[in-house]
Amino acid sequence: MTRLRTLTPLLRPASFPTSAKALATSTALFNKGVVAPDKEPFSVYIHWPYCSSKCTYCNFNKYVDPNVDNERMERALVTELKSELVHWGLDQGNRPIRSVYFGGGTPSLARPRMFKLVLDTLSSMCALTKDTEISMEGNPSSTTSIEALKALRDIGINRYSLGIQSFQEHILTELGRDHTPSTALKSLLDARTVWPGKVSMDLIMGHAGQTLDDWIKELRFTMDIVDDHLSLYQLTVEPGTALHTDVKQGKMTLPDGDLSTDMYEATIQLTREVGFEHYEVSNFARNKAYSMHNSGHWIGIDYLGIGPGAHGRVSHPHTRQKFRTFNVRDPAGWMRECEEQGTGRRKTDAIELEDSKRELLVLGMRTRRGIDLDRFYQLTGQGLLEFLNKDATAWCIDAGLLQLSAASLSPTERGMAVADELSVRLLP
Amino acid sequence: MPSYKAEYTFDGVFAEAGLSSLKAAVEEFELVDWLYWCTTGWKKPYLSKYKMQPNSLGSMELEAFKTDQIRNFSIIAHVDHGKSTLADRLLELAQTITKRKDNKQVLDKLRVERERGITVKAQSASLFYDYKGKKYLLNLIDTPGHMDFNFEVSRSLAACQGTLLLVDAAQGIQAQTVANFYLAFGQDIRILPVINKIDLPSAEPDRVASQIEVAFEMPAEECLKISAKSSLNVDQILPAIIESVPPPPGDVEGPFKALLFDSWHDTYVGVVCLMAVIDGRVKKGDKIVSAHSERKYEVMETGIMYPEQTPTVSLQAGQVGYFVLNMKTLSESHVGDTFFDHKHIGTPMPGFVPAKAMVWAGIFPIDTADFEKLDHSIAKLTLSDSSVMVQKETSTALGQGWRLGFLGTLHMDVFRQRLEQEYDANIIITAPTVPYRVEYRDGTEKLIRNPTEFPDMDEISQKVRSVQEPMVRSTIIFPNEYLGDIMVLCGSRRGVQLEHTYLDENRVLLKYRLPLAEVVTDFHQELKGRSSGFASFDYEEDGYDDADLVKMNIVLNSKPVDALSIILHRSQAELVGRDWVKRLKGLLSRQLFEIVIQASVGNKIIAREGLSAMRKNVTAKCYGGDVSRKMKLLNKQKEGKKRMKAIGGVEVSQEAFYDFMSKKK
Repeated sequence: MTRLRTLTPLLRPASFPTSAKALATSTALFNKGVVAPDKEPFSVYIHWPYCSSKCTYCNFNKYVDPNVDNERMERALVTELKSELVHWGLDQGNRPIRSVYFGGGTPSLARPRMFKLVLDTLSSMCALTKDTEISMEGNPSSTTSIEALKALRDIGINRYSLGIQSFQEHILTELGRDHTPSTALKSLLDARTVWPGKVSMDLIMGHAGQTLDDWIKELRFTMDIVDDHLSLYQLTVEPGTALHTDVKQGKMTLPDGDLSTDMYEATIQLTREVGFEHYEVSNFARNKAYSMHNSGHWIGIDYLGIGPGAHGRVSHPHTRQKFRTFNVRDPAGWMRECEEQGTGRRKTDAIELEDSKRELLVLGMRTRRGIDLDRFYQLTGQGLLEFLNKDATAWCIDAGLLQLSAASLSPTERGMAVADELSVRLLP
Repeated sequence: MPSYKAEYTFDGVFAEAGLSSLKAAVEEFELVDWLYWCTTGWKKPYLSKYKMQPNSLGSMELEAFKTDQIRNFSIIAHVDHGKSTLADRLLELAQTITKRKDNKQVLDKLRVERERGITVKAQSASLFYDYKGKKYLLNLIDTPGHMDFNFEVSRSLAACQGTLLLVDAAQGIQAQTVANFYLAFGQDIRILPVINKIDLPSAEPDRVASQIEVAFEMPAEECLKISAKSSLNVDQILPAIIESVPPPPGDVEGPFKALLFDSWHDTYVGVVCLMAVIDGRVKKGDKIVSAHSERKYEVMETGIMYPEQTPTVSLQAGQVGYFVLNMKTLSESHVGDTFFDHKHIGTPMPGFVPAKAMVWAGIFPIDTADFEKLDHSIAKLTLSDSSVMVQKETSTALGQGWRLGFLGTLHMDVFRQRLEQEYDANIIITAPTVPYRVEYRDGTEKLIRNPTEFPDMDEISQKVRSVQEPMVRSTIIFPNEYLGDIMVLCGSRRGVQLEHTYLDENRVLLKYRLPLAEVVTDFHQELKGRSSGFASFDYEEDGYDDADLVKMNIVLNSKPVDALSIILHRSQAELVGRDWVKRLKGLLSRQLFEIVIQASVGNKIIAREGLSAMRKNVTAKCYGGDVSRKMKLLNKQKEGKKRMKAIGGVEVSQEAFYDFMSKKK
């Protein structure tokens, strides 16, 4: 460790390319005690970039490679993790880990060893507590045995997020998923046995040709088998995907605005009936089974991005200046960087204070909790209500789109549905 | 030496002429005195093949051209009947310009003119032509080919003794042919009918000749039958002009007298005036005086348009040319003004009725920050188009802008297009308003150029004697089969039929008296639509009539939008109101609250549409990698919002305004 720490400055000579101004501002703020003392937990995101097949809608950084060099990949992940922890001063023991999230790609395709190596590294260098949420994403097709799931649990995974996407055969085919409704169902039940109350599942709505009735039926079925967390997404056409090409060429038509709004509203209503709270635009939880990792992202918690193409948002250990980090995207290139330089971080951008404020606003307007007034002040040195356009804020409260309490400013259900518009209006 | 400076470097000059170098220029044009260009600022080597050589001072001697060796003529035609092409051919024939493949409409100088195939500003050019052993100076005075510019047509005609009435052999007589004919007829000048495009497969020159006989009582056999495009029979034209157009009247020996019929602004020398010299002679250094302003000017330069400005030693009775008088602004040059020798002030020419703005519209910058720039652009553009009237205007909906008066809707479109093309302007232009007249009981009168000036209901019932609208007398010509449709259209636009003539067995000429307001909206478009594009249309002013007019307001969430109010005949208010609110609904985007769009007359709501509040506008996913993208988008959206106009709390995008005004959607 000592060796690595001394090495770090050499790894990336220009690793804090902050503007003198940004640095001065944030130092000043820090000195004035505006920013809370540095005991804040942080999160770690690990990206496993491989998939067994490509889904038509997915624009994540993923690769279908039959000859994955697991060994080398694992080594590179650990190398990068170590360097980054050191680089950002996260190995000092003062900041506990809030959450670890294995995303992808398809992390359930990785060897259990990968999870073990990463978690061992974290526990040896930082404070991995019993409260740390450790999630992984899984795919029904790659977790066929309950034993495999148990093995993962024993390594330390304590939350499981299953990418089911649909319980309808023709939709799964259309999406390019490599599982069937029955394997999905079996995976879900297995996972619930292994992680009772800690399983999440994803479904997508708004497929070509899908009617409101189709979606309600699927949701009702889901309500009978779901655990305590649900991510229900509107299908989004992302550039660079097969879906994008099909829609652009007119081969496929997705539901229009009114229908997709009907689906969105039906989703909120149906999940509410069985006790789910709509706590973010596309996320639902009951018994307070919120995703710690994602909520952390929404309230401005630091997170380290590890793995090919991973993004991070981390504070400078001394100045508290926040940075956005970007890793090399392609696995081979990223591994090479890790081996040669210790890290695959390719770009480190200082986040201007104004951008931090905007980010907190945009993400906050998407959540039930909204924006915590104290926290906003601590992170930015400005009161939220001073920052926002006053007329627009008052108007939105009047119109029943926002609610203001002593502690927070949060969107109402109606407000959350128009969060993008709210953000634009509320900006000064 | 002439006071010009060379505007371009030589390379530029050659490139413009399609030549690679000076050497190529010399080879191509044999005798090029390039120093001469240098001093005169000629931009193209026009002179080269021409026999008239300038004297050593770089000026032409025109003294030898007495009135009997001069003919002044114009070409009048309906749009697209080939006027500019014929002008090019005549200039080539007389070697004013060199015959080249790309001589496209030399006289149409503005880009919009070429794009739209119309001439806006009158241009003129001089030709030298040998006929029966005598050398003639022929002045071609170009006339605009659109009804909006009838005023310009008549002023150009006033400087001529003859005109070529050009008619397309396939299309036959069109509305502007008739209008132009009567303009020329009214000026009592010699009209030579010319049938053009006789080589088209669909040409029917004999039928067109008999139409001319029916419509204008000119013997069919007098028509020249030509094709300007292929030059077929074009050589008969100049001899015909010399034979049948009378030479300009005038006395070379008398005191100097000239008619100003056009002017423009030149960056280097200020205002350049085009004049027809009636009597006497004028040269550099002479002092002349304007009958209108009584201001005295020293002649700095005289010359002819050849086709660019070419200095001459002098100009004399019968000749037509340009004058540089040290005039600074176009407002000094009064079209129709008569100039005299300062010591011999005689009776001025009858002059012209000044151009009248028939259509007023508000122009506003899309981005209010562009106000200053746009102000400057409009000022510059009106330097070269003095017929545009300019007043400042402030709208609560659109901010600071201008109310501009135009000769007609095409004039308005051309102006808008020039602003956009030549000055890169981003503007919103409101629905046009014609000048209404309000007559009060106390005998006073008010001219309404803007719906906001229209008296309210109380004022009308208590103080107003009558509200009047301008009328036009229109000519419409089209194939017989569309008669029913077109009569229905004219009826629906409150038209009264004045005349119904068959030009031949299947062409009809209708004359209607119509309110101008009905004509400036989309009448022309409708006419084209209902006649598969075959109907042609022209109009002239015809006084004012009492009318039951009302102001219709558009109200967004109970706030009236001043820029969208309009003056209408009471009978149409409801129909237009319904159409407008419906179109507006289609153009507005949903917002966080319900929008109520209403049309009202006085306190009465005549149409209403509601646009329910936005239900959902949120991205499904927003995780780590999506955030930077999201932030960029957010900043862009915020910028976009700043460019929106908020009316009654309702955000209206510039595009929506633009599309609404231009009726694109």
